[in-house]
Amino acid sequence: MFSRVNEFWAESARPGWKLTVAGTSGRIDADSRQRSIAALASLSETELVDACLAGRREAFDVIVERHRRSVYQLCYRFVGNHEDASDLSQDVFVRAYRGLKNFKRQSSIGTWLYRIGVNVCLNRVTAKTPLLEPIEPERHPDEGAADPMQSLVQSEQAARVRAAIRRLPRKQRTTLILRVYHELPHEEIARILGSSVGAVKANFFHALGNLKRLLQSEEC
Amino acid sequence: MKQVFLATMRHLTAEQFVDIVEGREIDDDGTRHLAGCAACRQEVEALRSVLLQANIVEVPEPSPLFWNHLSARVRAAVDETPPSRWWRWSLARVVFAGGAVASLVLVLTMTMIRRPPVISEDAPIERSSASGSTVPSDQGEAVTFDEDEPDWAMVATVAESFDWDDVEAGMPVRPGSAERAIAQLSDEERSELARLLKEALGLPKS
Repeated sequence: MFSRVNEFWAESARPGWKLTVAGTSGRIDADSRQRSIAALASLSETELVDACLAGRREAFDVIVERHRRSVYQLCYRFVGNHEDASDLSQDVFVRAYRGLKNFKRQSSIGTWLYRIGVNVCLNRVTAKTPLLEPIEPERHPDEGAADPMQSLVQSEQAARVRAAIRRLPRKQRTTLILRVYHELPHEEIARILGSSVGAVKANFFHALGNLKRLLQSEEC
Repeated sequence: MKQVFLATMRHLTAEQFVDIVEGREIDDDGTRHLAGCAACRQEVEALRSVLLQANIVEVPEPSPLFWNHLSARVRAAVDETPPSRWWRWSLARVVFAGGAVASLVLVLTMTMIRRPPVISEDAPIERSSASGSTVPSDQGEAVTFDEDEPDWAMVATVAESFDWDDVEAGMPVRPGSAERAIAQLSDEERSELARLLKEALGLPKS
C-alpha cells in the first residue's frame, strides 16, 4: 500500500517545491498538481488516507472531489439554502482534514464524513435558529415541466415538507435525512449516530409519524 | 392457542412498521396481526404516504462551476489550517519540559561553580574590638574567633596556606605541604601540636 503511495510521491509534489528524483530536478507547476490528482484518482480511499497522512496534500483534494456532492446535499438538507450549505460543506472537509489522523478505518470515509457533517450541521442549526424557508418557486423553475401550475404546486409542497422536516427533533431529522435522501442502510446510520439499529428504526418511525402530523396541521 | 391470540392482538412495533413500509418481510405473528388489524394497516398506509411526500423534496443542483469552487475553497482553508490543538499542546509540553531541564542544569552549574570568597594573604584580618578576630564568611556574615586560643590560631594559619583550587578538587594534599606547614611553626606551636596529636592518638604525655 505504502509502496504505491511512494510511487505517486515521487511523481509529484506541492507546487513550488524543488523536487529531486534520481538526480533530476525541476520546478513543480500547477499542471503537475493536476497530473498528481489524476494519478491519485486511481487510489482506494484507504490509500488516499495513507497518502494524506504521508504529507500528500493532493490526496485530500481527491477525497473532496469524491464526496463533495453528498456532503453538500447533506448540509443542504439540514439548512435549506445554498450559501449555508456551501459554508458547512467547507467546514466538514476542513474538520475531516484536521482529524484525519484519528480516522479509525472501521467505517468508510464516506460514513465518517457523514458523521462529521451531521455534527457540524446540527451544531450550526442549533446555534442559528433556522428561518422558515420562503416559498420561491421562481428561483428553481422546472423548465421541463409540462404544466407550470403543477410545477408551482409541487414546489410549494416541497417547501412545506422541508419546513416540517426542520421542525423534527434532531435525531429523527437526521435519521430521516440519511435514510430517505441518502439511502443509507439502518446499520450505517446507527454507526453514524452511535446508536443501535433498533433505535434508528424507532427514530425513523417516529420521524415519519411526526412529519405526517406536521403536514396535516399545516393543511388545516 | 392463547399465545397465537395474544400475538395477533398485539399491535406492530415501530421496527415492524419500518420493515413493512420499506418492503421487508416481517415474522408470521406480525403478518397475521396486520391481516386482522385495520388500525395497523391504516398506519402503514399513512407512513407510506408521508414517505412519498418526503421523497419529492430534491436539493437544487448548484451551478456546475460550484464544485470546483468548493474544492478550491476547501484547499485554501486547509492550507491556512493552523496546527491542531494536540500539536500545540505537545509543543507547549516540550517547551515547558525543556525549560525545566535548562533551569535545573543552570541551578546545578551555579551551585558547582560557586566558590567561597578568596581571602588574600595581603588582606588584613579585621580585628574585633575585644580580643577576637573577624573573618568574612561567604554568606557575608562575620565569623568571630578568639585569636588568643592557640588551636584556632593554628587552624587559621594552616587554612591561609590552602589553595581553593585544591579545595574544589577534593582537598588533595600537595606532596611536602605538611612538612612545610610544620617547618613554619614556632617551637611552642610545634610542642602544642605534638601534645594535641598525642592526646588524639591516646599516647602517654612525655
